[in-house]
Amino acid sequence: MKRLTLFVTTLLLLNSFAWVVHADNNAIADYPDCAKLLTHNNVRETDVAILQPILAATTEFMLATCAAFNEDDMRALNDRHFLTAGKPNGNRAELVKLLRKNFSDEPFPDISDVIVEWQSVDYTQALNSQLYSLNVIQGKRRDEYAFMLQSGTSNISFMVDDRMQQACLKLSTMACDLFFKEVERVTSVQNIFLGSNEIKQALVNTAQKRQDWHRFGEEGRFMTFIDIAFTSWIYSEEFSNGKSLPPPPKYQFFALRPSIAYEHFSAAESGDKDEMTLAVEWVGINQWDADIPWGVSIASVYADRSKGRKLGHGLMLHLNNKLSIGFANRGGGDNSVYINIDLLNWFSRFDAYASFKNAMLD
Amino acid sequence: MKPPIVLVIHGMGTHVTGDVIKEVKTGLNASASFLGLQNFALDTHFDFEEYNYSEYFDEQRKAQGDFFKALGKVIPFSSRFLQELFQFQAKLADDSFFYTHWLDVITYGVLDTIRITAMLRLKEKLLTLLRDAANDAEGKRDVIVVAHSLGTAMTHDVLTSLYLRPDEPDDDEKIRYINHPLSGLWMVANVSRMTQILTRYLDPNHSIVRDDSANSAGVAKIYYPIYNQFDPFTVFKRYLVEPVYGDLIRTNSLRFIKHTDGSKTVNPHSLTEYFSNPEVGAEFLYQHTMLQITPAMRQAAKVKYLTTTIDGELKDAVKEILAKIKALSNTVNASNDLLSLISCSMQLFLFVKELKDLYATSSKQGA
Repeated sequence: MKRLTLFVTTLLLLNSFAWVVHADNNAIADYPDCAKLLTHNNVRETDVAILQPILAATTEFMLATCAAFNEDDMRALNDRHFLTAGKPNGNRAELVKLLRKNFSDEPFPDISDVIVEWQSVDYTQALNSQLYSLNVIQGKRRDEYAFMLQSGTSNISFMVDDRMQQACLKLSTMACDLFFKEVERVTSVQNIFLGSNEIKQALVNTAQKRQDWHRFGEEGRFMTFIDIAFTSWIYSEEFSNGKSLPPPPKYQFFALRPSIAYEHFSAAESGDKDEMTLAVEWVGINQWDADIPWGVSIASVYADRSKGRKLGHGLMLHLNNKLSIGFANRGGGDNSVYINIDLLNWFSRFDAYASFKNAMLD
Repeated sequence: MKPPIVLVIHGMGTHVTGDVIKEVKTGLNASASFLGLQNFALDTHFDFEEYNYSEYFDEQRKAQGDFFKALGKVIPFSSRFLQELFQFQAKLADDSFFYTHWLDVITYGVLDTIRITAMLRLKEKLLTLLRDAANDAEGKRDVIVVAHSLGTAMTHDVLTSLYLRPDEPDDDEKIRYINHPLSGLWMVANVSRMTQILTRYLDPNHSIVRDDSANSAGVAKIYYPIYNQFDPFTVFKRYLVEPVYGDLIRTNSLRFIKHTDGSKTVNPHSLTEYFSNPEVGAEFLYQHTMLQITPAMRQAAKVKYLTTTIDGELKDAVKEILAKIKALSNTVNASNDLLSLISCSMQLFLFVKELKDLYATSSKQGA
């Protein structure tokens, strides 16, 4: 515990030193989120002596990026000097120095090529969440590793052999698997804030989109599979974008959608004027998420009356995703009106759907 | 330090929560047994999580069935077309093999609003797991994804919407491999090429969903696409990409599966069967645990496993049906219209049913 306290204190001191070069000279205490990063599991101290200066440097860099975002996130996104407290090239020079001093081609094949490539990495590229990522050595298959700075740079793999085991023990008093994990952990500290920020943003936005789609399913008009296929076909360009999941559509589309309506036909015989009828929407549209949701369908109604035409055609207006009012022409100048309640939505609202459904399905 | 997290995503059909994890565990335990591992306790090596979309698909299917059944009770239909349409839709509430399996594929491929809702739930689950694994108080944890059958398609399509290629600019709904790599990706009975014909998403042969290497950007440190040549779902538009870190595992065995009631079945599509085969299960244990598994142990496990497989006439009969599926596969491509694609999918499932019946008959004879 004492060692941990000493370590954190050292980091804080290092960090306050870094703030001297920071334009706005803020203290980490001003940003509890940044102070919390010091408790991240990857920031714990290392017993490997050659990695200790690297850990101090990557930790300092990570805290600087956090403070910059807390201070002015827009500026941090556009000004790399501000983001990195005056260290826009990160700690790659220190890493290259470490590799050059301690790693040789003899036990670590191709390391000199890797060093040459890493030295020439272009730092002028636009800021993104991987620019400051460091892994150095990444575990692949069991006993197989790859030198790696970031995706797109060298990804040279190698297997651990006896000579390499000896080299690892000499460098760290650890077997290679543990030593390489330690290298990966210590170097990855540099990008912890930017990486965490990346996944936090992705999660918030994905959760929001998931909720929007949930609302589409819950609040929109009930859609049959035909309606869903029809809507999918209308929005096929957006919905087939495999690189980004789209938000829910603004409109629902309907085709061949049956429902039950209660119809009033004034020209029918007395006692036969009000009937339950089958309504079919041939094609329709509904703006489900408007301030007052509304829609319209071309529809027909059918009622088995003793007199008059059984079939009528007209329009159905939808309101608030739940209620529809229709008008049907029965020919010969006779018209009827009907009201249509979305049974599934309506009954579930009053918690009576289960009993209704059971009665219907018995 | 805590063990790796294994997220399992099930395949076609109805799955009760917990079942798919049991299937993987049963398979891995069988492989451990073939390896001769003593005092093997799977739960000390992995924490299993699952993503279940079948409950949501079932919910949607039942709502459709209930809606049309209710209509049928209230209104006596006179139009024959409408009657047939409504009766077909009312049948969707039944959980028969054809409806659940075929409809799952059609639901995923054609009913985009349902598919996207299910995909977003998986994407959120994956992001949550990756975030929590990175921030675990005891140290960063590995996250391994195991997907089966239709789950491979959904996993593929979610991962392409989740991971950026290195040369793409930041996107506030995406992450990068270098910051949040999957430690392993196991795609068992990969059908992502089959559904891609319907969804028109990115081509799995060229997507980022693979291992990351100098040759191609990826999402996982190691990648294992797997198929059994007797699994009918892997014949149609078979996935054959060879990973750099990992392996394209091809198996070609059939086994009688003994049940507790004494009956036997044959099911080369079963997730348990895939992981029971040491070519898959032993490789999984070797890559993701620190267990001492030598090449000699693995060879001995394969030999032991082969003594449990069947050969002979059944395999020949199966090959005939698989040849028909292969011929059907060759006639289908993305330029076909939607109705002909749906028609092809029905034909495919009829072949699958033929094969299922053949397996059932041979199981009775072999019982």
